[in-house]
Amino acid sequence: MSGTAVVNLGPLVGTRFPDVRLADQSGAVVDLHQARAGAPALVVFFRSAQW
Amino acid sequence: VGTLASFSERHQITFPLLSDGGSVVIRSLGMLDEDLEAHHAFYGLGVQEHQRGVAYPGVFLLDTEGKVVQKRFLATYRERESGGTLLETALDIAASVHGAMSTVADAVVQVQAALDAPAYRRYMWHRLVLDLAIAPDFHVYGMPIPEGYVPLTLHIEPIDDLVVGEVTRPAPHLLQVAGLDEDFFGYDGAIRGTIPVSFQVVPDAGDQILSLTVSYQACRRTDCLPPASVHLDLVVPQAAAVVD
Repeated sequence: MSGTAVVNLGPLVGTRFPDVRLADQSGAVVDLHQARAGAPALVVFFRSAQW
Repeated sequence: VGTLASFSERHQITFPLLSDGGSVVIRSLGMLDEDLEAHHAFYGLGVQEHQRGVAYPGVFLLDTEGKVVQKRFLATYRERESGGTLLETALDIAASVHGAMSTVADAVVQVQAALDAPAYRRYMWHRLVLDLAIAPDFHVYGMPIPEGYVPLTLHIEPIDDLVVGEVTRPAPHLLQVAGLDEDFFGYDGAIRGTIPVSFQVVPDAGDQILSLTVSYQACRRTDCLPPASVHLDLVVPQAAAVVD
């Protein structure tokens, strides 16, 4: 139902996920790749914690 | 951040929840949902101002190098994969949270059914897990199967607004059946099947009852039993709505 093919949404398969540094729920800045500490990870985009 | 703090406390979340104020990162990653109107209109809903700037709901699986190895998106924004589904199918970690179990047994098979969560969330893709134990010396048949024999099947009684996906189960192995020159494929011991299920119900739909029938035909070296089936009901409560 979307006009954009999933394959083109966000980073492509086979590419390194870009660096992301954002505040977490405690206010501390989290660096995605540092936080993984060499382990596989799931990055989940969710719509909202409010609705 | 404050919203995430109360949310993670309420749901006892221990993994990092990141806040992208102004949707800066969402935009730079190309993940901004520009079809919000269309998505909401699909459900007969309008868009409220605070809802703009959200990302397409989707999941990226990263390998040890941080490379994207898999993208998991669903057809409509209301549908989600459950935590248990993600852990088990993407990361291959056995999920520890299971819902109420229901068990039934006859002389040959024992079937145990459970959901991957204590309660269902509407539109979420949960996994129904069926564990089948077959009595020693017996086997049951899979596909392909010679005419006249009954393969192992699962029937889920249709209910309104329940969407059922494809069953995943191990491939049957070749059975040695003395005296017959046909090839038989089947199972013995213990096998696990998983079935994606999504309750696409109204908000206050309440408990759902999954009515399951497992049919099979069991044989052993000396004899075959007539085709049989066992039936069980699994009561699945609805998770409380997330309300601030």
